[in-house]
Amino acid sequence: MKFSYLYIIFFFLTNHLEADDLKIYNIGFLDIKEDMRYLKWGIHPVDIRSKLNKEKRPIQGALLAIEDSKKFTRLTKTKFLIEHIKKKNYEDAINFLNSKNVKKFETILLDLNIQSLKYFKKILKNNPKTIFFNISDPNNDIRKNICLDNFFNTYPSNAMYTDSIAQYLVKKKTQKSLLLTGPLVEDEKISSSFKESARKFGIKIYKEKFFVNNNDPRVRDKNNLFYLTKGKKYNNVFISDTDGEFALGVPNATMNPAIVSGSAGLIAKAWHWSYLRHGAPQLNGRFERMNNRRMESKDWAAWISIKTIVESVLRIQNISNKNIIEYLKGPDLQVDGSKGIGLNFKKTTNQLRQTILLISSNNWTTKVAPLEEFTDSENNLNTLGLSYNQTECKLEE
Amino acid sequence: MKAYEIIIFIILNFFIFLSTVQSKYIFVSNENSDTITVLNKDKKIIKTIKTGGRPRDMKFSLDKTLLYVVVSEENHIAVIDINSLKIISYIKSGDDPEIFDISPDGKLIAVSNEDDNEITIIDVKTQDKLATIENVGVEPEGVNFSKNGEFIYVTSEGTNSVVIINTKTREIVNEILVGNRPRRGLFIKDGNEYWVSNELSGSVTIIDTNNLKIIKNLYFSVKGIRDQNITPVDFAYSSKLDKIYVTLGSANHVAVVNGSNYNIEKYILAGSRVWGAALTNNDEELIVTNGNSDDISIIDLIKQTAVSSIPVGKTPHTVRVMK
Repeated sequence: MKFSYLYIIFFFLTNHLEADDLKIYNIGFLDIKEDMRYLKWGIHPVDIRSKLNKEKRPIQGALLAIEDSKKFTRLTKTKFLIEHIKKKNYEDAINFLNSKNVKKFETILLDLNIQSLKYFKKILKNNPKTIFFNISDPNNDIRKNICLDNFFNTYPSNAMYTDSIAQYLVKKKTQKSLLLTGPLVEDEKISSSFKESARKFGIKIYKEKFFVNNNDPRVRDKNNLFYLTKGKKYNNVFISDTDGEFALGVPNATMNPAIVSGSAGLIAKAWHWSYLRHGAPQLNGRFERMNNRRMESKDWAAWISIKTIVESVLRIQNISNKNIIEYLKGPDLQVDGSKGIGLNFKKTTNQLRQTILLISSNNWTTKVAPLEEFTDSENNLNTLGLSYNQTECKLEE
Repeated sequence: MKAYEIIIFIILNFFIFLSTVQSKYIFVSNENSDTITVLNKDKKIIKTIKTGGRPRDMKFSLDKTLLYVVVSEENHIAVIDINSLKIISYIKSGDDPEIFDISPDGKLIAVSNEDDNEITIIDVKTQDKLATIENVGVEPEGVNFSKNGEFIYVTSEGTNSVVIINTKTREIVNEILVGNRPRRGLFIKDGNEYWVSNELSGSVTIIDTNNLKIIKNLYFSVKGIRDQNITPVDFAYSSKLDKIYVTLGSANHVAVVNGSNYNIEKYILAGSRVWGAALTNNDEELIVTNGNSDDISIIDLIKQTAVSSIPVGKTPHTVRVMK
């Protein structure tokens, strides 16, 4: 026992040596407590009240990626560390991004519903050495307006989602849409994205109607499906309902037989647990064992963000962000997202090209977009989402 | 030697030759119908063996009396007696076994456990689990014993690498970075080269096993098919012809590669998402499994074209030919 302190010193020394052998790469995960997207939107009304309900925060996808990254250590010689930066509300998150604390991290995953884009872009521009990932906001305007080398979108854009649905509707020869738009700003964004997709793929929007989710008999033209869906001039209904409760009742309740898609019926997702190919069951299995729930789109986006960083370090054998950004934007990146195809980023918009899963109300992968009938001269994944010319990025070059 | 002795000798040899030319059985594992389809040498289906959940890789015992089949969802390897075509026993394999190999001396089985990111080593005779090797990367898949059985090579899909394990000490002794999503491995040229199929890179990495250096990355390119749809998975190897046949998955073609100069000599059209491959008929025919069209293609390697396709079970995975 006399020399026990020697053991302690030895222990620290060996630990220290081990840590010295590995380079350290710090990742931050920024989210806010008061986030409607996890408190209410898209959550089944029964689940909101249920004791079994768990907030499905994508930090869990990021933690899985960190766990997976440990399996790369022999080749990356790098330890990837993550810190969960929890803020109360959006203002606090912005204050953090404006603070010097940002410099503690090489990469930050943003789990935010991004507001006032111009200002947000300025913040990102002030931190050119940090890599940022948008892992949960589908807003097309982010892709159109924020064209920065250090900002990447791994979560699909609304355009990618609505293009996927549009391709499916064209394939099924149901090209006459009734568009139902909800009261939230986010609903409008989805509907305007669907209108762009309709133009792109030749779908005719017969009428757009605006719904409210209440029982007021004075506005029954807005809350009653008998009035909202009367007429026979459509053969599909696209519904934009971020809150999600109203949309649940639309399939099987339209006055005219119609495919329902958007926020109910056939839903476009980045990820779903019913996908059984390309190693997806293994990824789902790892996530479920770790987090005791099923993996969702935002979890996947958080997971793939860190995976692209790990993949870059693996290939370039270097942890400098300058080189990582170069690799992420270059032609060699082919990251495996368990979607059966090598994934990489679109130039300038820095949107991760990916397949989109079209999921039925019965939790089944009905189809994977892009559909094989839709081809592009460079990469078929380009038939989903905004093309370079639809963005402001061109003007900035 | 008298004249009639010579004639008898020739006749006998002719029959021996015939028996080696014709294969006795062809086995196809169907991962989504939980069965193995057995075909005879005339390629007629003679039996369907029920295996239970998700049969995938298959290998023959050294004496060719048994066929081992991993049954992934049941977490075991089923042992089929080839004489009776019945399952006679089960070997526990660890969770979610996928691909396995038998050591050259026939004493060990090494199997990849994809879900647990492990390799399990099993004693063939006692059927006991001898060891579990962890930290072999994310989603290990391909498993191959080196020629003398000294090492086990494992392709790790999620980590884009080949992990090398010392069979005796069960320690990981090396790891080599290859292309993206490496699926299977193949030792050729007397164990001097290890070929790895990179599903998402559309390539094969050729490793010199003597110095563990990469000799070449061989990229496939099929006219009229996008590079991103070229997804190599399985191999078949003819040492006689020094040719390697690589199934190209979603490209629906099989590449024929010359073993000595690495030239890609031909792309032969097969069925939808071609995966498993095995040679038969004195290396004049190649049989491949088509996962998305639920059939196998018979490819005539002299004419270099598919001559027939035979429906089997749902999502055929591996094909093995008893020679």
